[in-house]
Amino acid sequence: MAIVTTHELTQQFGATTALDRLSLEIPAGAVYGFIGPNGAGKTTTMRILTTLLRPTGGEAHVAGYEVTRDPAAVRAAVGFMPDSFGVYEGLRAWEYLDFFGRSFRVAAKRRVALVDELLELVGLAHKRDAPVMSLSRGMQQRLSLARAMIHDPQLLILDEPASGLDPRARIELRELLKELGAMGKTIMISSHILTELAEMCSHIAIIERGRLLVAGPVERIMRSVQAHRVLDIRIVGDGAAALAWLRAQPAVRAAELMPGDAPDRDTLTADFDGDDQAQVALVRGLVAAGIGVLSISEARNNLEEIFMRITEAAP
Amino acid sequence: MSEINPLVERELRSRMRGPRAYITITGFLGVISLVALLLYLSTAGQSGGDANAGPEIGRLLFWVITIVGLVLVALITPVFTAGSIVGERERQTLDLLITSLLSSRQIVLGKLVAALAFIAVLILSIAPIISVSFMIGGVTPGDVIVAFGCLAATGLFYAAIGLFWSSIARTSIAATTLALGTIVMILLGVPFVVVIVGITVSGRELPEWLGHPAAITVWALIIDSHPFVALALSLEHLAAGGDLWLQPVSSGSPLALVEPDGPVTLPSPWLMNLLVSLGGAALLLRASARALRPTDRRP
Repeated sequence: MAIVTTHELTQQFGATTALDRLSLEIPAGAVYGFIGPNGAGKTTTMRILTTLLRPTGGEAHVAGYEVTRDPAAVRAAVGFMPDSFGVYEGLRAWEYLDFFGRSFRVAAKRRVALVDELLELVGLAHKRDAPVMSLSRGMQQRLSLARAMIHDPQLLILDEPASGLDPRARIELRELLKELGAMGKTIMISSHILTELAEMCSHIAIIERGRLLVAGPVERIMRSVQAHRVLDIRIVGDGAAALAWLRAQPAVRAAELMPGDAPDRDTLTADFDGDDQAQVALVRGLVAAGIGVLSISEARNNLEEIFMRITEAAP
Repeated sequence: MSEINPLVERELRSRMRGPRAYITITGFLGVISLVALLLYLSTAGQSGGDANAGPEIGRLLFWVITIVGLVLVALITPVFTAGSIVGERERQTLDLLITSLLSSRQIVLGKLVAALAFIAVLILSIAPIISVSFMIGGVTPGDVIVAFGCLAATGLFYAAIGLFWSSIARTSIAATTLALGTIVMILLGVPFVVVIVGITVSGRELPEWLGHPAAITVWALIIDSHPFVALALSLEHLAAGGDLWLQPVSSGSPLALVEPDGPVTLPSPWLMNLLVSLGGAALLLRASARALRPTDRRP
C-alpha cells in the first residue's frame, strides 16, 4: 500500500517550474531516498507533502488524504524535519518535546512517558534538562527527529537531515534512521550525501529540474542501470593463474587482479554477465580448479555512480 | 480538562526566564514612579498646606499616571507582538508550528494572550503607585474603571496591530516599524482629521443628515478611536458629573457637527474606544490567522 502518491504534481514560481508533473509512490514501510542536485525540486515536493506549499497543479495524497483538501489530516499523519533546526531560547530538551507533544494533542498522561522514551531513542536521555541552545548541532538534529516522531506519525519526511553535521554526528544519525527503518517507519529522506542513503534506503527516486528521472526499489534500479554484476573474489595462492582462469570463463566480461592485504593473498574483481545459476557454477568452477577461495561477494553498486549515470542520460 | 494553549505557556516560560522581562517591568515602573514623584513634589509644594488640595492632587496624580501608563502600553505592546510570528519565521520554527495540529486561530490567539498576559502584569504593576493617589483622595471608582478600560482596550488593539504586521512581514524590524508606524498614524491621524473637519465645516451650511444618530455615532467612533482623546473626554465627562456608561449628545457637543435630529445618547467615550478596539482587534486577528496559513485557503 502506498502512503504517498503524487499525480502530475506541478509547482510554478512565476516563470520558473520547480516541479514538472511529478508522479511518484512511496510504499508503506519504505525508507525512500529522494535524490537530486540543488534546485531539483526535492524541498518543494516535501513542502507540498507537509502542507507548507500549495501546488499549482496535480494532486498529492498522504495516508489517503489529499494535501490541499485535508491539510489537518495530512499534518496528523506526517512528522516533518526541515533542513534547519528551529531554536527556542530558554527551553530545555524535555520542554521542547513536551511543547510539540501538546501542539499535536498528545494526551498529558502519555506525553510524560513519551518524552522520556523519545529522548532515550535518540540518545539524549542524559540531556533531558539541558537547554536546547546548549546542544551540539548533531544533538539538535536528533532532538528534532524526536520532535518529528512525537505524535507517532505514519510518515517521516526528513529534508537534508545530515546537512551541516560532522562525520560522527552523521554516523549517529544514520544509525538512528536505520533503526527507525527497521522498526517499520516509512521515511522519506533527501540528502546530498548519497553513500549514506545507499546504506539505509529501500527505495530511491532521482529528480532533476523538477522532473522524476527514475524511482523504485534500490536493487531494481541498480540492475536496470547495470545489467551485469561485479564480483570481488579474495583468494590465497597464485593470483595470476586465478586471473587467467577467470578470463577464460564466457560469462566474465573482464577481470582484474588487485593487490591483497597479505603477501600470499590477492583480490580479483570480475565483471560478471550471468544470472544466479551461472554465478553458482562459477564458484564451483573456482573451487574445482584448485583456486583457494577465501571469500566471494557481490559488490554493491555505488549510488553516486547510479545517480551520475541516470542524470547524465537525462535529456 | 482541556489544557492551556501550549504557545501561551511556552511564550511565558521563555519570556520570564530571560532578563528582558524584568528589565522591561523595572523600566516601566521606574518611568511611572519618577513621573508620579515629580508631579507630587511640584503640586504638593504649590498647594502650600491647603487642606482642600488633597483630592485635586490625588486626582491629578491618578490621571497623569494613567496617561503615562497609556503611552508606555501603546509603545511597548506592539513591539512585543510585532516580533512574535515573524520571530518564529526568523528562528525557522514557523514551519514546525504550521505543520503541527495547532489551528491558525490557536497560534494567533496563543501569541496574543501571551503578550497580553505580560501587558496585564505591566498594568497591574502600576497598582501600588496608583494606590498613593487613592490615599490622597479624590479618585472615584468610575475613574478607576475608565482608566483600566482604556489601558486594556489600547493594549488589546495595539497588540493585534503588532500581530497583524508580524504575520505578513518578513523581518522583525519591518514588522515593528510597520506596527509603530500604524500606531503613530492613528495617534496623529485622528486629531488631524478632527482638526481638518473642524476647519472645513466652520461657518458653513452642513447637510442635515449629519445630525442623524448614525452619522453622529460614526463621528464619535472616529474621535473615540484615539485612546488619549477618549480618556480625556471621559475624564471631562465624569468631572462634570456625567454618567460612567452613557453620554448624551447635545447641540454644541464636539460630537455634533450639526443640530442632532433628536435626543441622542451614546456609550461613554471610553466604552466607544473599547468597542472600536474590540472590533479592530477582531478584524486584525482574523486577518493574521488567514495570513499564517495561506495554503489552507482555496484559490
